[in-house]
Amino acid sequence: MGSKPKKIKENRVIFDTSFQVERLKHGKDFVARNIGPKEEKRSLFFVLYEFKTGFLRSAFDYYCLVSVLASPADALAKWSDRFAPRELKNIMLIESVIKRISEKVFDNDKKTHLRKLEAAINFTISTFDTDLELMGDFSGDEIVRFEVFGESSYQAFIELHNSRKALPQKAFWERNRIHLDKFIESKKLFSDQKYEKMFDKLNSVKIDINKLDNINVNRGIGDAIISVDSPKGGTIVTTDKIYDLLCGILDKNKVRLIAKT
Amino acid sequence: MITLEAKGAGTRSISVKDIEKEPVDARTGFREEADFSSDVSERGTPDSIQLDSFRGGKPEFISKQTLSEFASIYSLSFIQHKTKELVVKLTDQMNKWAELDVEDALIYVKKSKDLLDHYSKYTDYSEEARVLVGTLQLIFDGDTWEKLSKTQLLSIVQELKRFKDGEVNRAAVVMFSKQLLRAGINPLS
Repeated sequence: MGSKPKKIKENRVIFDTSFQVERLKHGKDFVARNIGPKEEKRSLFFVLYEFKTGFLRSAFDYYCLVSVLASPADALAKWSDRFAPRELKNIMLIESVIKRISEKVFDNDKKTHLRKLEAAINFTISTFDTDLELMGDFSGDEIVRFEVFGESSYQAFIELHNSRKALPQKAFWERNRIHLDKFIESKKLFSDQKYEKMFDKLNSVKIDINKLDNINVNRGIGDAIISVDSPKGGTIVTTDKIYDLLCGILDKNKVRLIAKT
Repeated sequence: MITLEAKGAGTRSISVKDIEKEPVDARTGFREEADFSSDVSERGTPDSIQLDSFRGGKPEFISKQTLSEFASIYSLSFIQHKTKELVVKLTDQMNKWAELDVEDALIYVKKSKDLLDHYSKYTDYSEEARVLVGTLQLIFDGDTWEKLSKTQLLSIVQELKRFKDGEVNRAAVVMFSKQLLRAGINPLS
């Protein structure tokens, strides 16, 4: 008697970065409202990378800003004027979450405000993978593996991130050249002005893989990585419209949710 | 000058001979931080301080100024002791709160919040304890506490038991956060 064929997990959902940030704002309810209890919940190590270099890095910078300014109120006012969140992707989302958290933990006493801010940052990273399995490439990346806990870890993380702004992706795209080719073959689908830049970056990588050393190229194709790195048969859960395009090209499933205000 | 007198040269413990009683905080009912003796004895510990567990060296006469110096370098065992006290008192208040509707339990909510404010001056010296107390303050200082069901309240009490010995490590704090989320408690939402 032959062994049973491995069942394809049709009920596997993969949370992208936008969903994970959205989940921060609305917690378990947001997941429960949108995802059935029987779904196998997954995310990617790459999503954790984006979360750390985007949201967390910005949160650390904000913590430092509160520390050096006279009052938490000054920091909140100065944040959006002078200090942009770090990553190009999800700028508005990250900024709004940090503002929201800062207002939530606001305290006129700076020491108390910083304690609560530190706890809030810790809560976000501690709960990132709650009831969620991480999968895919980049599990060995040093930023992905970096353990963040409390203020004492901020400096080491910031120094690591400053020393290596571009994620090593060459091996990933070498392995997934077939998917890169599919994106390039679908040039006309990227004709929307919003997506042209991503196409140009993917195309530059196709022509010369060393273009991945360019920070703008490196950071500008994260959604393409998520769509490629997500397993076939799973469903990417996102609030980002670009997955309509990317998943269509790769013939992958996706569910796009409307971000809750 | 307020002095702490050593029981004997070279002995490990010193007794409090003539320490001024700090006024009891009318809001919290707790003494201020200089009064270590009452804090310690309150939990049934003998009225003495193992000085060398706070700072190395031979205990002799020390001034209040020196006392505040070592207050800023609390040893792990002292922070652990204060954290244990906090957990015992906090879970006690929360258990009483859980027996009532929230509108009848405001006194216990207030006491819980005051406890966190009071003990944060000790727990701030340990990163793990500070993050734990900060997480609880996120619940008590915002409006999250208003939305807690009895089940959620009791699950916080249950989860706090992992710190009942006053020992707070990273893994336990991370697990505490995860369990809050699993119980549907998101202090950030």
